[in-house]
Amino acid sequence: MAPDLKKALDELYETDGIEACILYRIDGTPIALRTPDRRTLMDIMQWMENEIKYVMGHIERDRLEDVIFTFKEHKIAFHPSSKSTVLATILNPDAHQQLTSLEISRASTKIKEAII
Amino acid sequence: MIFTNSSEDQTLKMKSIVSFSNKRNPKEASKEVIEDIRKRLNFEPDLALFYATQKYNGNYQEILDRFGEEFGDLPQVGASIDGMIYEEDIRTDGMALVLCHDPEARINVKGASVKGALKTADKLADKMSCKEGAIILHFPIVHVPGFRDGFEFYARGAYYSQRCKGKEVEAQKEYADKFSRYCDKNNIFYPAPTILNKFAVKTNYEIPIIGINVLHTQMKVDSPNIFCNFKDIQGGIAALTIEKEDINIIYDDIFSNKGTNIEETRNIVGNEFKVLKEFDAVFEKNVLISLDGKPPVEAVESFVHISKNGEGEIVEKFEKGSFEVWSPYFLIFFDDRSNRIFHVGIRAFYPFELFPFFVDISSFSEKVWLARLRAFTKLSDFISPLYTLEERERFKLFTIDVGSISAFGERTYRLKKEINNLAKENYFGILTAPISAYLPPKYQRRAYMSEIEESTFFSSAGTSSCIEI
Repeated sequence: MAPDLKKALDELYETDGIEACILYRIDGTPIALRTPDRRTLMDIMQWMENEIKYVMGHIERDRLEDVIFTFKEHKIAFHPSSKSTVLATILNPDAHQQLTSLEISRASTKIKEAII
Repeated sequence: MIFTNSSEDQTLKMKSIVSFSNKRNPKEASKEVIEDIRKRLNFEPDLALFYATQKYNGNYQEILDRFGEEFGDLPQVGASIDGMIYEEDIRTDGMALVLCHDPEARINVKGASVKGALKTADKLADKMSCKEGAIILHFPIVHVPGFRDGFEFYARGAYYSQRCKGKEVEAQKEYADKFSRYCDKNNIFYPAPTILNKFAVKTNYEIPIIGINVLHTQMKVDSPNIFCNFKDIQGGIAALTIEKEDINIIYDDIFSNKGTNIEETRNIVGNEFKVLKEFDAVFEKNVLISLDGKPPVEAVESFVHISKNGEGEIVEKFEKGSFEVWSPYFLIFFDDRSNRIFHVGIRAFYPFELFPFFVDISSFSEKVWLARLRAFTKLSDFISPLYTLEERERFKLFTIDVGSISAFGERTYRLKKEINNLAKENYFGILTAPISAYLPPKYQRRAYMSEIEESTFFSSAGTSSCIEI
């Protein structure tokens, strides 16, 4: 993995309120992930993998910058980070949405730069 | 991560080095910063600035102790803030240590933290002396007390709200005055213009004073925090004095110039804001009692949606650090005699009916507008001081209203390129609540709408500054 890409994910994972971050290929294959314990988030990650194509379709069709799902115990944000990758972030529901979204946007930009 | 600001001209400009970490663990974060600084520091520092986001709430002193062991002989100032900006990056999570070197400047940091917000300001102002240069104050505009004091605040608020019900206006004002004094005595509200004026008097109205007003967009109990000489003085006030010739101060706000008289100003405000309703207000000092005879939030609720929280929900949100303070709706007050305005965001902040805030509006008139900003404010307006920089080689310490993030969301991240193009190098920016300023006339570049008292500037949205050293 490119060092800049690894660094971007590491820094995002250290952000307050972020529980996990996963870089997916647009077909739903995880490229890199930062999670505390994969078992505890297994169900949600499975759901995310299944959603990627659907979410990317919406982002492209409706020209969205990101898509956020809010559940009782988590928020899940999908940010396209390049033409072929999506950055998915699992957030604590009490995370500061505006400040964390800036950090996610930063990581997404850094990943794009690292991939290009 | 580290970035060294350097300048070719080594003689006149303040030099700086910025080190940043956002490691979750405060020990690891401070270790990373110290190790980076050790590797890169190539000058004898004269000043340390330390700013951190709320993720380190509860651990600030531990971090300051580690920095104190490493750099303890330096004057140090800082605060808990919502974000920071350094070479082509904007971070809203983490901590930054900035070390500065300027042999031509006389630099010192003094602080005070006693019972009573205004007493704290008096105590610190008494210690001040500054013949030239600038004073940069750090203080909370609202300090959220701990749980025990927080419950007392709610109980007092509920008590005085109850006592006001059905009473004559004069009696209501007496209770509001008592509540205002209680809030001051317990360091809850720091009225920025009043505080700046105390320092302006002590420096014969000759020195520009910037008030870095600290308030998080989502608040926790026992926050925000002020740092002074490697101590977390919590809700105290810290003053950084930089005595040096030719320090340049740039202040601006996002609004048009005010008019030459109050009617003209009202017209301009009417264009900049979408006015939803005019109320007749009753208030005393910094406590709003009623709008058209109703409790303020209840009166406003008829015109805009405001979600209400009970005391239990408010306490829970403060505990989790998810209590939001930004509001798109404002109450606009007019001082007819001196052609000045002040606006304050309104939402259901309190589980009681009185509505206290952080400015004494005694001189303002009773006609109050409920309004929201029109959509044509530009993101770049929030960094306008950077468009008038005089010397790019100097160290630039600037502030941006964190409300820009609330208004523009993650698009704010795009500012980083523009900021880097304008400031080039040797800069550090702070994302926090709108700043306040006392400016001697030569620093007043236009008829700012945010002039709240003579030569004193403050607004609850869109003020910013840049100090070139």
